[in-house]
Amino acid sequence: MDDYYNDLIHKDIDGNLTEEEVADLEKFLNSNEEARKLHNDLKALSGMFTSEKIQETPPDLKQQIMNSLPDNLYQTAPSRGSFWEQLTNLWRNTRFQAGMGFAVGAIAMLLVTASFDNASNGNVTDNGIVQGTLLPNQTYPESTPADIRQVTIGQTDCRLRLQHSESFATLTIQGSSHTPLTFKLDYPEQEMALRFIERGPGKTFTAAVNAETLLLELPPNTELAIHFLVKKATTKKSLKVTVNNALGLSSSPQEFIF
Amino acid sequence: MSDRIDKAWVERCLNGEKKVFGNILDKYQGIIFNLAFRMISNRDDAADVTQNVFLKAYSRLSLFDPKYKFFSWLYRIAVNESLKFVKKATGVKDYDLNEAPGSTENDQSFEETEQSNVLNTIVNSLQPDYRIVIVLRHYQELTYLEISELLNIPEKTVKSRLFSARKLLREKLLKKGVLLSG
Repeated sequence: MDDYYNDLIHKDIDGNLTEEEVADLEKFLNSNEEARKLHNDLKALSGMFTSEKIQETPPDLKQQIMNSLPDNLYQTAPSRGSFWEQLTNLWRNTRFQAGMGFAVGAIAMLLVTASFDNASNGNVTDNGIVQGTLLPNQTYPESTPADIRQVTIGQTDCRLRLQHSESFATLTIQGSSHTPLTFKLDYPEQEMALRFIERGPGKTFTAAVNAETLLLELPPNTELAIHFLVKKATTKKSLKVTVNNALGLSSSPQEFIF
Repeated sequence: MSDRIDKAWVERCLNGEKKVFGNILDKYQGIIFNLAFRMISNRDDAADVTQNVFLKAYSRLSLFDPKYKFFSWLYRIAVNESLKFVKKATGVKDYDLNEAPGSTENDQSFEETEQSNVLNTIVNSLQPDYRIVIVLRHYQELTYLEISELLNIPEKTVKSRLFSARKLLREKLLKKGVLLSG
């Protein structure tokens, strides 16, 4: 059968014929028995679909899904007890087991990008603000050199290190040896999304997050890595980090823009 | 308006209001469950796939780009999860009506089966690439363009798969005496 008429038959099944095409098809069907049979069969088939009933959703499905949702979209250092509790509950749920394999792989990849560089090349300007740039993610080769900033608040030092992989940005914070510090991270949600925070072994920290801000307090001798997904290519400065002394001993917080 | 509400809910979920996700579930679980059911033809498996879809969507909310419609994004996850399930469950092989779950080789008892079951069985005997276009076009009533965007294939491919799938269904239904050609 001519492709044109075959198309017309299917267009008619879909209800998309123009008046002119209707006339054309009718004329053709009257002169071609095979085509008329095909047309009638496909019409009947289409009618069988439309008479199919809508399936009712299982009544407990919503509750099951709500019960399975993780407590927080952002992993912000839960206490050890609740962490193990959550992990155990998750592992009991077979649906999570396949996902866990994938997640472990992804975290391992991120850990590689977050490995700490011991080289010290702090380049703080006189006013304590250093300009940096987030490159569009498609221009990243494998990873870019780390952008490292040395921070001095009063007599306390810490170090910030930002590194990009293909589509992730990882900020690693090496806390001071003496004083707890507070960090405020501002990131435009259109460009970056906080994925998760890793802490050093045995360490705790407190954090508050929303779509565009992360506030955290870091005890002495703590390192953590904060992973962002780069959502959109940008050449603008995207991540602002403001550091202050958690004990209120410093009168002037320092601001860094990556 | 509807999409604006969806995006406001997404925003609230991202801000830690987990229970707001219940609104998204109320609104969309029916259509997602029906899509999964039409692809899988088993209520328990369809419920599992629906659960996976929403869990995946929730865990990826921060990746949702608000310049797109939230439902399109969710629906795409659902299509992918349904196809993944079907391909995993059946493997990629030559599909034959006699291999389809629930099919019967006994014409006598086949005639006694409800038309709906017959149709489901035959649709499920199609290979996944054909099955999905039938489900999206005839059960979900999407346009060719919408299907092409969801499956990330050219509209021309949608058309050709749909035409082929319809012809296969016709042949199988004729063979089983459900359609009486003419």
